[in-house]
Amino acid sequence: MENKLNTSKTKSQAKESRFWRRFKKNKLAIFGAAIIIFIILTAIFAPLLAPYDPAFQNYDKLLEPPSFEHPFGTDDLGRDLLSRVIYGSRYTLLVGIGVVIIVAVLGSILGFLAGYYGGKIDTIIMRMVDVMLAIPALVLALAIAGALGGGIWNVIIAIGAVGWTQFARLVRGEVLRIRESEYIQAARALGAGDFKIISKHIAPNMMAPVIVYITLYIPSAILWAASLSFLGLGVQPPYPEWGALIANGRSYISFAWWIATIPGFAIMLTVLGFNFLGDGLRDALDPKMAKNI
Amino acid sequence: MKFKKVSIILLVVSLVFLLSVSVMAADGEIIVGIGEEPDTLDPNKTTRFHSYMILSHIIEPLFTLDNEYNVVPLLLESYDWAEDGSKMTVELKEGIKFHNGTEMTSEDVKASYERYFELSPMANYLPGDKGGIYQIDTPDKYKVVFHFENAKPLALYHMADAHVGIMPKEWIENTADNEIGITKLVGTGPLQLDEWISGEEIIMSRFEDYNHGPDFISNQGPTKTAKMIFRVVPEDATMMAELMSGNVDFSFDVPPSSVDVLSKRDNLRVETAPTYSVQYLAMNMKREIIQDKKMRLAVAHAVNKEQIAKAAWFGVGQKIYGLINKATIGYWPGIEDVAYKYNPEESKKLLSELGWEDNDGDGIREKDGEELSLTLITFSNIDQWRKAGEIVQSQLAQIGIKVELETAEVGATYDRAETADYDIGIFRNTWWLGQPYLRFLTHSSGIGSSNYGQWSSPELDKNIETAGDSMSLEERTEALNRVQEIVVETGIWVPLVSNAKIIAAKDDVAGLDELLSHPWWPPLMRALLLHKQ
Repeated sequence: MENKLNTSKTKSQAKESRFWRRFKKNKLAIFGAAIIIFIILTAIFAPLLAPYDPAFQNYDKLLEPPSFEHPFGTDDLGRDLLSRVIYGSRYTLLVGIGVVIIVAVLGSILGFLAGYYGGKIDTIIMRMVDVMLAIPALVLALAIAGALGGGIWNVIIAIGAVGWTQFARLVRGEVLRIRESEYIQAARALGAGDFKIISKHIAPNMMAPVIVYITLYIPSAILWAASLSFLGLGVQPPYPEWGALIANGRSYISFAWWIATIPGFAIMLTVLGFNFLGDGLRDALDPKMAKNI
Repeated sequence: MKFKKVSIILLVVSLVFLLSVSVMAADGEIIVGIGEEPDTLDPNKTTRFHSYMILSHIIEPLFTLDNEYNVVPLLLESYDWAEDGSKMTVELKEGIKFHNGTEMTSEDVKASYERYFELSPMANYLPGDKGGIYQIDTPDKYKVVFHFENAKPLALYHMADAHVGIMPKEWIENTADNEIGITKLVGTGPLQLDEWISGEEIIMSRFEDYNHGPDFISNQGPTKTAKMIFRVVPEDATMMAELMSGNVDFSFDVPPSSVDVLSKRDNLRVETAPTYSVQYLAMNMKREIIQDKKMRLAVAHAVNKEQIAKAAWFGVGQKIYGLINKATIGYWPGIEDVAYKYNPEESKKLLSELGWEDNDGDGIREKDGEELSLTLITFSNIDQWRKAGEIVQSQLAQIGIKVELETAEVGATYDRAETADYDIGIFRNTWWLGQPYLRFLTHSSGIGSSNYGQWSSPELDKNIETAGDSMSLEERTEALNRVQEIVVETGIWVPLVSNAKIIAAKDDVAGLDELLSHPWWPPLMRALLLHKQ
């Protein structure tokens, strides 16, 4: 018994070290991870990092270009843009992670039900997914955000309510694939119940694609939230969400480029970071890549 | 060789010809940048400012207003009031043509007024059921007799409004209702509608038969420009780029933020002037927390209008005291003494008297375990309003009121204001005539719709009515002054900033000086005077 345990521990350790070896080889993935860690730290330590109160309006310093005093310049109400961008990272990450939680929970439950039980449940859930996918996603998100009203939580709900469909399809596909495996049939033959099969066998085996999908979905959610804020349906003023900062700065783009450009660059960097990280995770977790290493 | 020479000469000649034609065409048209596309150009259906301004190039009312706010005849020779104000007889000018070639007659005037009474949401003074015109007679081709239920001292002003513009009777009857103002529009104005390409531009051309411009304009017609094209440019940044690159010749939708930059351009002329349109804060009296006057005064004293004028309006707007400002007929200068002054200390004192204190040191006052929080609504898509919202939010935070700012586009915001779904809001309204405007905003008949404060009193109602109906100018003036005093004194309406009118024009646009001599820069003058040098 003891031997058995040791063997399984060694196996998982080997798997882990194989993953790290592959992941570390991917320079872009490391770069992506570094960006994300940097942004997470910025969000956590925003009050320490920001030189000014992000909501403080100084009417004597309207639309000032970047300077030593205000490295990112000031906005149309004389607020320090650096402080606003630093605080904005909180909202951007909150939206990204909040949406992914909704999408993952909703998509997993429905995808599992559809894939595992099949039959009528599968038909009902998948037709629902088809109907949702037939409507342009941004339009649907706009409609939901419009109906719920502005605010960060409503944005998260709106994007989450639209985004779960792709995730449900992914989970269903994985469940279908794993369900037919021999070890599942063996487990079933040994009398294992649905809960045990799902929690002990199916769920762990589909973690890799789910993690990759989650990482790659966060940047989409961030961009969607920025789009909604840009269109005035997202986070309400004075919260310095990056999309809202861009919307705010677009009127002044020809003579105060910094207001829209710097938050735009921040969004680009975050999205790029998550995408690099997601690609790296996918490559490291993909068993087909193992042969090459 | 000969053939080669001939072809070269032909090529040069044709190039010169093409070039001269294109130069001529460019000379003959003015491209006007407009920040908002009209909903319709039907004068009897629209309530929007942009629609009104644009259709006023095509459609004319019987009267117009000169440089000094005097009502002067436009489509008529003379008019005569019965002594008791019950009847007005109008002699139309002979030979005025509509764009479809027919001559304007008394029948057309009657049909146009009847359509206005039937359809227009703006018809709240002249119609018979409002005590106004109950019958229109047309004894001959050029004579119209308006019969009034009661004397209407402000009738002439309302008759100078393009919402009651004159259109041909036969054309109205033979044109589908959904085509009028969308694909077709026929009036007597100096420009005629050629085409409206939705989302892009409205093209108008010179009406050659126009020759009845009023005397106070140096050109009585036809227009000096062959064409006027209204190009839709809804984005502020794009409008600025279009003006700077010279793609737009002229615009009256210039964002205040760009005045400084545009003024520095050699090829552009930028002019600003105060206008009758105002930005104001209103509080919803249906909310219990607002019903206490001390709370309203705390808000009124905490608002620093100068900061709003400086930051939201880039110094172009001006602080105001009353709901109507100097450019509006009926303005009362005494309002300056009634308006509440900026005094945050007084605000803090009032809030403390009401029992609101900041006990936990988070900057927000509480009472009975509840935070002092108000919802502020305003427009998301107009910078000056969104920014005013953020400024007021910050100013109220300084006295310990937490403000949840909820911005949405203009229509959605007004929907909430009309249905009393807000605590405080920042809105805009505009009219050049004080009485109907104040009636629209504050009379009890507007509760549930245009009376965003959702409050009225018998005294206020009585004074608004007297200001519109009394035959004594003194009585009317006194009543309107009292209305202005009441609305500000209650603290329900807090006037903020008077909007600025901004015009930017390329330096080759002629006729601007004369246009600017009129306080309202009216469309009729724009059409008759502006042209390329």
